[in-house]
Parts: sequence; C-alpha cells; structure tokens
Amino acid sequence: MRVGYVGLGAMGGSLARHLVGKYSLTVLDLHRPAVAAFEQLGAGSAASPADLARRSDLVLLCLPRSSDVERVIFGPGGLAEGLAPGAAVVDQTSGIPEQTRDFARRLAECGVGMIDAPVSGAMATAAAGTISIIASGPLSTFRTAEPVLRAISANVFHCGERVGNGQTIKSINNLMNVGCRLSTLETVAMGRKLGLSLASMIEALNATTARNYTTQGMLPAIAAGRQSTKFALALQVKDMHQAMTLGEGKVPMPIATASRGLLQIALNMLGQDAQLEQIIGFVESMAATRFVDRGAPA
Amino acid sequence: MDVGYVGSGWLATAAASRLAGAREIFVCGPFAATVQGSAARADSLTGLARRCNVVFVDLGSQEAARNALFGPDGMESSLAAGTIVVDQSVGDPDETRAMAARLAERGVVLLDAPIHCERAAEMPEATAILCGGPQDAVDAVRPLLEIICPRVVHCGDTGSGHAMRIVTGAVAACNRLVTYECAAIGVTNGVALQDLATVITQSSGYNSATARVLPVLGEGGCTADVELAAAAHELALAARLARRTGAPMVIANLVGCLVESAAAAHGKSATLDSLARFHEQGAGIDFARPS
Repeated sequence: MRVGYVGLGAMGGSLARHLVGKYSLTVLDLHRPAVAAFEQLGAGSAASPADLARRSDLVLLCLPRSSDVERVIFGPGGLAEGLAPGAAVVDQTSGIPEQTRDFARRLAECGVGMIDAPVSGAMATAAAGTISIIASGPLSTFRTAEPVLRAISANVFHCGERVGNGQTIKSINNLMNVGCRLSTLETVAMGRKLGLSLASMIEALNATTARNYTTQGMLPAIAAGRQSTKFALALQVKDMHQAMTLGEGKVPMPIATASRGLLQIALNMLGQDAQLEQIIGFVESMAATRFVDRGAPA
Repeated sequence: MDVGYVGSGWLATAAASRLAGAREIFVCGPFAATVQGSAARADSLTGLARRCNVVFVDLGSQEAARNALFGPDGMESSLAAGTIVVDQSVGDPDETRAMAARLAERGVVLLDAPIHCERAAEMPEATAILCGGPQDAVDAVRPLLEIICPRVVHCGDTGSGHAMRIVTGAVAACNRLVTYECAAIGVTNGVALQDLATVITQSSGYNSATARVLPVLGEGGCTADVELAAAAHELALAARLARRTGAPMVIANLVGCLVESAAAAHGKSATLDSLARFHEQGAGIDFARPS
C-alpha cells in the first residue's frame, strides 16, 4: 500500500515517522526542513496535495484545524483532485466532528472513503508508538487503514461507524482531563493548608476512588521535582473551547465552564507563551500554599 | 484486647462485620442487629466502654460520635486509662483535636480513622482507612484496622485522618461529576458510552469513575452505597474547611452545590448513583436509551 502523510508538525511528524521503511511513504508539509528530514529517511515528497494523492492509496492528515483539512482536501490542487476511487483518507487532526462528517460525505461522492483517527497522549507516547489512536468511521475504511494505524501505535480504538466520533471522544477526554486535573490540584492545595503532606495525599488518593490521571501522574511528578507535561497552555485553552462547543445548547456544563474559566485566568496571568506545567504554580498562588515545602521532603 | 464497635449505617456495618468475621467483638448502637460474625451485643454504651480497651465509633456523623462519648449516658466516664477510641466517622479536624484533648485528660487516646469507601461490596478494593494520631497508638490498632481494610494510610497527627478523608471525598466526587457531565456530552453527540469508557479509561481523561461508573451507566448499574445527603454533608464540610484555610476550591465547591441540589431533588435515601438521573434530567437525555 502506498501511503501519503500531510502535516509534519510536532505531532504529525512523530506519527508519520513510524511509517518510514514500513510503507512506500510520500509526505507533504509547508515547512520545507520537515519534508527534507523525511526525504533523508527515504520518504518521497510531493509538490502539492493533488500530487501526493496521485501517489497514494491511503492519505493521512494531521493539521492544526478542520479549516486546514478542508483546504488541503478540497482547495485548488487539493487531495480530491488526485485521489482515485477506492482510495481512503484518515484525518488525525483534532478537528470539529461535524465538519469532518461533511468532508467524508463529499469524498464519498467521489468514491473515496474517510475516517477520523485523532490521537490522545503526550508527545513521548507518540514517539514510543503507544499513543491512543481514536478512530471512527465506516468499518471497511477502518479495516483498510488499520494496519497503517497499528504501525503508528499499538493502541488503536475503533469507536463506531459514524465519522467524527473519534474527534468527539478526544475532545471529551480533554474535558475530563482538565476537570480532574484542576479539581485535584485545588483540593490538594487545601490539603496542604490543612497540614497534610503531598506524599500522604498521593498515597491516599491513589488507594481510593479519588484516583485519576493527575493523582497517578502529575502529583508524583511534583513530589519528585520533575516535569509531567509538555504542552502549551494556550493550546489547552483552545482545545477546551473546541470541546465545549459539543455541549453548548444541549448539556449544562458547570464543571467544564468553571475549569475553562480557571484555565483562562491562568493564561491571562501567565501569558500566551505559558506552558500547561505552570498551572501547578498558578494553583499554588491561588491558594497561597506550596505543594512541596522548599527544602523539605514531599 | 477486647474490641467494641458503636455504629450505625452501611459502612459501620461492613467494617464491624469484617472485624467480627475475624475475632469476637462487642457491638452497640442502631446497627447491632445487622453485624455479621462473632458480634456480642453490649447492653449499653457505658457497658461496652467498661469492657473494651479499643472502641470503634461510627454513628454517621461526628456530632453523633461526640454525643456517644460525651453526651448523657456517654462512654467518657466509663473508659479506662489506656483505652484507644477509633473514630471512623467523617469529621472536622479541629473538632477531632478538641475531642482528643478532652479524652487525653482521662488517659484515653482518640484516633481519627475514617474509611473512604463508596460501596461495601467492593471492600477492600478502592478503599482505604485514613488514620490520624500518635504513631504508637496507630501501631497498636493497625492489626485491627487491617482486618477492616488492608490499606491503612497514617496521615499524621490527630485530625489528619479526618482532613484526608475530606480531601479524598472531594476529589472522588469531582471525578464522578466530571464523568457524568462528559458522558452527557458524549451521548448527545452520538457516542456510545462503552466506547467512551474504553477509550477514556486508557487515556488522559482516566479517573475512577470512568473505570467504575461509565461502563455500567447505560444499564443503571449500582456503584455506590453512599447516600447523596451524606456526600452533600461531606462536601459542605469541605467548603467550610476551604473558607477556614483560605483555599479557593472553585470546582470542588461547585460540585458540592450540585450534589446538594441532587440530594434535595432525589431524597435522603438516594445514593450517588442517582446523580446519573440528575444529569439525565439536566440534559434531557436517557443514558439507557441514547438517541
């Protein structure tokens, strides 16, 4: 199978790298050095999306947003001009499900299948080949793409035949992560003010139904003095805004709303270049406490 | 060592039954008839206090525990010096320290050792005893505590067990309500709850409720014995401690308000599982029959 990959940014590049040497791979990106790096590894490059499409049976995309996906597929010189009937497109963008479903419908009119397969996890898990790939769309198209997806990561989920469900679940995962992260940090901050050590709270939280991704990951990292996230705070806020559009007008979202507000305050106070990791210091400042006393064990 | 348990409610019954399954104990209080195992009924609080040198208390609230110790016909004057009282109710750490100081005048040690457990049938999974008090007293009763639950966390001095129980309770409640809110978003967007549970439990959105509650949400599965009213009471205590210590607790306090609203809407006997119905009503959905 000939595979094309469009979008070699930090995440897309990490994902596409797993396909080098396993498939006949053609890549495309506006950033020429990113393409050159893949050429050095043996991949081919394309002059345009249409050119890449003509050389590929399966095209994967990982772009900043759904509007970029639409331009790459349907714009002048886009993938749609080069894809043959029977070809398939896999959108790994953290996109908007409704728009992705519309792209799939338009491609289906040309005999081209499409699924969405966004990823959830840290960059390190992308490099390690263990990142979660949350796919959805027609089973036949998924089966076509599955070997390629499994070459990228061992953790591939197919969440129904409705295109966009993968992107929906990814967004909901973001809401869960942020809600639990902030509520855990603020409550642990209160625990510190009640005289509890971080070490004892980590033990108690993880022994009970209070456990979550933050109690298992970020809190032990704070205690050990190491970093646990590598993600821009502005992107976290953007993801949060996108996720909340799923519930607007349908579902009351008090926790997501409060969480978004806290993240927005943090971003406004820390600046657009802030990292998610700085949320730790932000919560400490809010509560006027420290998770670990300077010079003292956690 | 003679052991007594003064209790009421499902959690005290579960704890005392585990003790009585391993050794003979004396019981007193509303739960006495429901305790399984080698449980001998004491005729009164004072009678139990006179014959036991370790006395567990969980009467559903700290106020009830205080009354059992210091109220009319309470145990205080019947406890011998050297007795250890183990308070397993949920309470205010400041009040715990005050009670401990009063008992110390008689040579009696008070340990706060509440249990974090959402469902008796799951014990000892996802369950821990959060213990506060002097190390030697904790060491003395640890074998008994470990009969109830193998996971015993010594959190620090007197009151720290109760403080920890508020922390774990608040985070667990946030886990659960974040999960219901997000499940409602998923259902209204055509996502199957099983898919949501499978993916999120293995992703960064993981929490205990995505693992325990989400997989059985569609079928109305039972995941909790904790009454909404008790949870609302705990979260209200968390809010008071936040105000006292100057901690913002924005999300946890919001969750407390939601649980309080649900408790008012669904009645005192409703458990945490009825929060599913609360969210269904709020979003106009049915988790069992997603559209």
